[in-house]
Amino acid sequence: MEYLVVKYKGNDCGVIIDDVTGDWVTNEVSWVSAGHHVVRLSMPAGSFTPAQIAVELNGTSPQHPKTIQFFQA
Amino acid sequence: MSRAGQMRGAGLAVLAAIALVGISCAPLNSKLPKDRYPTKSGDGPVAGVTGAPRNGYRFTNLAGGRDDNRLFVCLTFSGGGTRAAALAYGAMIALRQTKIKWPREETLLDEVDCISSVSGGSFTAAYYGLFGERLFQDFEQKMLYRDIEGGLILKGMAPWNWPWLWSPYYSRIDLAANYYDDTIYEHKKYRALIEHGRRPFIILNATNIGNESRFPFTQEQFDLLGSDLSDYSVARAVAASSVFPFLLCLLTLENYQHLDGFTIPTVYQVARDDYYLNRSQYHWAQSEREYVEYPMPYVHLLDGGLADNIGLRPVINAYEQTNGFIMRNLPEIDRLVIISVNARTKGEDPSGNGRHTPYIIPTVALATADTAMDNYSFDSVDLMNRLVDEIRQAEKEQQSAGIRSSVHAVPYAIEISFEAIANKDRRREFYGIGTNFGLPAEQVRALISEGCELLKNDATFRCMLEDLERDGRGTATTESACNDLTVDHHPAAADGIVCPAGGGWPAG
Repeated sequence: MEYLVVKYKGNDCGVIIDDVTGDWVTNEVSWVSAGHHVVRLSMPAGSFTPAQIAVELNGTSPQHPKTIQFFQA
Repeated sequence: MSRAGQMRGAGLAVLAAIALVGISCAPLNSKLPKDRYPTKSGDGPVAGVTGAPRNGYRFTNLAGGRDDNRLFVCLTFSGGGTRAAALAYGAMIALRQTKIKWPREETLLDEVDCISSVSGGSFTAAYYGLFGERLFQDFEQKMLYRDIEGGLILKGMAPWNWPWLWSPYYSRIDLAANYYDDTIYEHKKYRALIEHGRRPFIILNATNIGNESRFPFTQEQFDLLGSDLSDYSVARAVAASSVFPFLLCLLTLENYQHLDGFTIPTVYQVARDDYYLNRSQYHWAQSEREYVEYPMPYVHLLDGGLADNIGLRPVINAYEQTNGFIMRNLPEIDRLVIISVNARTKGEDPSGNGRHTPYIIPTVALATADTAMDNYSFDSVDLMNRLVDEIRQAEKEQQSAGIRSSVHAVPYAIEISFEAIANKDRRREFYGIGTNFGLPAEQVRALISEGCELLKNDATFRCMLEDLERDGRGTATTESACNDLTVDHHPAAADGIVCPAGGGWPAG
């Protein structure tokens, strides 16, 4: 299993996306509270670079979190 | 004293010492084998090598997939002795009679995915988890109508139990756990719950007096102690959950950390950087990490009500936290229902009648515990309601902006308590029922009936069923029937509930 750690700023609705394709990179998080989140990737981590990871919060422009970390477990 | 008398005395002392050594240790929790350490994701290792218990008692190991997640139902049962157990049981009767079509014909009880409980409520939750439908056949006689306190006193007075009670490593709580095992839970261990492999996920909650935080009996929590929950007695978990302060002793667990090669799951590590972003998540992670990073060899547990007397926090956490079992299934959830059965007390305070300072024991001591429990429970309900409002607001904004919705379910937060009893005299009678484990039969009967009636007539419960029936008819819209709680809804599922008779208590 491959996982991703991202950091949010506030409570909101949002999804983690690949900012290039617009695809969701995980199907596990749709409500986000502030803080760090560990999410399971729904596609291989090798499919995108950390720079592509973005968080689409409540329909706003995708934000690129500073904390991006992949790990396997 | 004669020489023969001295010899007899010395002999008895030696026998007592042997007895104390032989029975000095009540059974503690077992160590987690290395091949069952959690992974960095916090899940257990891959199942299949040594059978069902390998992965431990975790939500992810219980059967259920996309179809089961579409309607996701969690129950929380508060503390409050037999009155809490009976009120929760009454609510379970109502759920069992709530017939739904989702899409197959079943009852709402069949759709329950988790039950989080505290103290008295844990008796009902644990029994349902272990024995399922048998709850409705023999739980009343086995637990609700039993004078548990009387039984415990008799057990404590039996001379053959005295050597046990003299031991510093055995206490009244161990005696209570054994009593629950003998009379109610048939010596079942968590292994039985794992082998059932079915939902609901039962979360029995105690309080760790060391870090003053909630201690749920789940494998995730036991992972941090380096311990295997599957060998642990369910009755002992119930006992830990219901150790009311000042009445019973604390229940002890062993912490096996530091374990060689044990890595704390990532979710606890990353949250320590969240102090300025999310303090509740930060403090939660901090207290959990202490089991591993600054381990004390033993953990002492007290009544779960001290950390949350309504059992709602685990469900809120499962929704909010990144590895929470609700959070992880959110995209598949169409309807999320959270029903809290709150048997909280609101007795009259006689201490205000006199000028003299109330006695420390029991008045001040009990008031201290009760105040903490009630305040925290109120906070939990409030937090849940605010969470629902935030999600609803975010959903509205998305809809109005024409943006695809990423949140599929705004929770239906249902709380039933005696506060909803319209007649104030009747309400006061129910509030006045004791929180001990042993009530008159007529009060138990009335509580069972009231638990069922309160849920059946709850406005949010009814509008939620209205939404489910609209879903079944294919007439659902984005507008929930719960958007206007002033409208009386008459879903067939609620109107079809027939609650057991209350037996005429309270008179008048």
